[in-house]
Amino acid sequence: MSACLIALVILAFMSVFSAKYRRWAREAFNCVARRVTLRPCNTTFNQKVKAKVTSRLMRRSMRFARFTYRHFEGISWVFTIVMFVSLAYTAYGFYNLAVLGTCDPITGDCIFNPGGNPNRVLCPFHDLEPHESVPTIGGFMDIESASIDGRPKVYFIGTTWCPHCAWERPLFINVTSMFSDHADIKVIEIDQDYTEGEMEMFNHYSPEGSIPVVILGGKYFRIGSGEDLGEDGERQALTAIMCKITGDPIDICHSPDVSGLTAKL
Amino acid sequence: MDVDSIREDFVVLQKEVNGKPIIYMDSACMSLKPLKVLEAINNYYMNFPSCAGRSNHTLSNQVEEERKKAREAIQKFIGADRSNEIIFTRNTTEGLNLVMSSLDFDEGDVILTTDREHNSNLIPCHMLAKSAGITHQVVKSGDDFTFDMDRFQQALSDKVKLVSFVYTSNLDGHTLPVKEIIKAAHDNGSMVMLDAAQAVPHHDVNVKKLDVDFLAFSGHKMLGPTGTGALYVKEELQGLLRPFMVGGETVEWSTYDDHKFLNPPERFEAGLQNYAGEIGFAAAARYISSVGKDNISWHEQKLTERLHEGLSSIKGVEIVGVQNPSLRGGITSFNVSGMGFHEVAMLLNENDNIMVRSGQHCVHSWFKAHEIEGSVRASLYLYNTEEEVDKMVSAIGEIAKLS
Repeated sequence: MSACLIALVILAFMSVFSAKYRRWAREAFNCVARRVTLRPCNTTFNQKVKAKVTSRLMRRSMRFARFTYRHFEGISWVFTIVMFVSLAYTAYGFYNLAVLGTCDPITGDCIFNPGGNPNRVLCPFHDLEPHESVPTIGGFMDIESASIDGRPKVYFIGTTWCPHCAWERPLFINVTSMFSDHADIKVIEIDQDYTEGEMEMFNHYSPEGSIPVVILGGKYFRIGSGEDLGEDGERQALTAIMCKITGDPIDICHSPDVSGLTAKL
Repeated sequence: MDVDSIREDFVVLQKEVNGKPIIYMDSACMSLKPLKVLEAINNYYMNFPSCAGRSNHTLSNQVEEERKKAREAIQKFIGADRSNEIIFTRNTTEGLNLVMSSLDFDEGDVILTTDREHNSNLIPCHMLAKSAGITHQVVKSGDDFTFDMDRFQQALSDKVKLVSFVYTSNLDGHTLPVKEIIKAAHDNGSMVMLDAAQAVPHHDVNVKKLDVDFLAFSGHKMLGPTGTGALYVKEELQGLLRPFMVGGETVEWSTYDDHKFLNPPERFEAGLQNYAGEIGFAAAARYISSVGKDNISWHEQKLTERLHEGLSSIKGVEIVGVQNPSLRGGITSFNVSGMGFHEVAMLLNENDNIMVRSGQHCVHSWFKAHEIEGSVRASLYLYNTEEEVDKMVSAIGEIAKLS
């Protein structure tokens, strides 16, 4: 049955390009159709496939041919499962490409989007031109032209389904909550509820629509999570920048690790 | 017998498939056709493609004449006394069914068969058991799968109307001691029908010497075209057969209410006949006669013994049926332990273009009774060679390593 199933998919595809495979495809289809309706296959298609494969292998390696012959059913099932898993992943990739603009929302890698960045995914929100900025600690960008006036506002922008957001969000909340008396903190889920202004802000900082986006005081921002830093590294980077933008208001800002990072800003 | 010269008469043997020659070992199902047979068939279609007997023009007369010669050729081929004892059929199956359907059986009549009958001889018995209430008895073979004469003698009773046996088994090539069987049956007052599909093509069969009552065989297994066969019916028994299929060419005259049948064999040959086939069939018979039936028989025996010796030396190969190759004619059935028979046959075809049959060979009853699922069957004929047999043995040796 497994050989008929996998053969059906392969032969059906090859039949599109060559008529010589159509008879075989029909035979495979008949066999599969009978088996799924709990009737015995009334052709020797399974044996034909086995004989053809074994015969080819016998010309190259008797040992491999013997192994394949003896375990043909098991090997067929492995290939069948791998085929269905591959088909499922391919379909998932096409879906992501259509909806999100990238095949793999986890790695960002996509044959149609080569060089996709890790730690962030594309969100189908995009527009504005990028701004001028320089890299600083923790992968954050320093908008040199920006300054911090008054009580800083810090934002986490992501979505409920984004895995990088899921990694970053609790760290962001954990660190920024220490500065709750000194900064305005907001977590925005861009797939749920947001204001027009928040969308504009998101588009401004992430013109391609990648998420998550962490915006600290309008001065420092980063597109993507801090997974490369690890939890401890990310915690320290966030703390250092929060200290910087709030004026070192709490004790942790004076610890050697944090102050050392702050000095680099 | 010059096998190389014979092989040149067979066009298909000059072909190659995937760069390799064909090794044909399925003659028990269908034999190859020599040029002379193809030319005879072609000659009909090219030069006198007309009806026989119904018209009175030149072409029709020519067909009638050729058909008459064809019948005489078949008559001579099996040693019949008269050409009217030869009824042209489509195959052995039709011949066997004709007799079984046309004889009058009373409830309680017994038909004896062996335990290795082709379905074409077995199933009509089943049908008669249901329709006419006959009793079908199977004469089991001995432990060595050979015919058990004692069991047969014990089975003969005054109720046995017909003994219908396979002459040479298509399962394992075993040939029955038909002369002794016929004598015993006749002494008992029973008629004898022989399924000679695997016998007539391969060795000398003389119906008069055998004194058989009915004998059916096929043209396609003896180098003749498909759709041809013949049924021999002893002249004195022809009156016992009711016409099987009736219509055109079976009657002398008819009115709205009545008709008069022609004499045999025409009364059993309804409708337009396979003239080209019959002419080709006769050409095949003449070809075999020119080669010599004894030569063919001897050649096959030699090859079968060579094949048997080779296969027996391969670990895992089990010969099915009669083990002694001298009792088996040109047919060898076998299995490779741990492997499906269809797979073995397919691998032979894929690897070396060796064409054999696999399955139950229309003898399902024997396989079921012996709890064997099926077998690979190699059947040899006059055009097979020692090199082909050696190639077969070598191929099986390689395939057996897979299990």
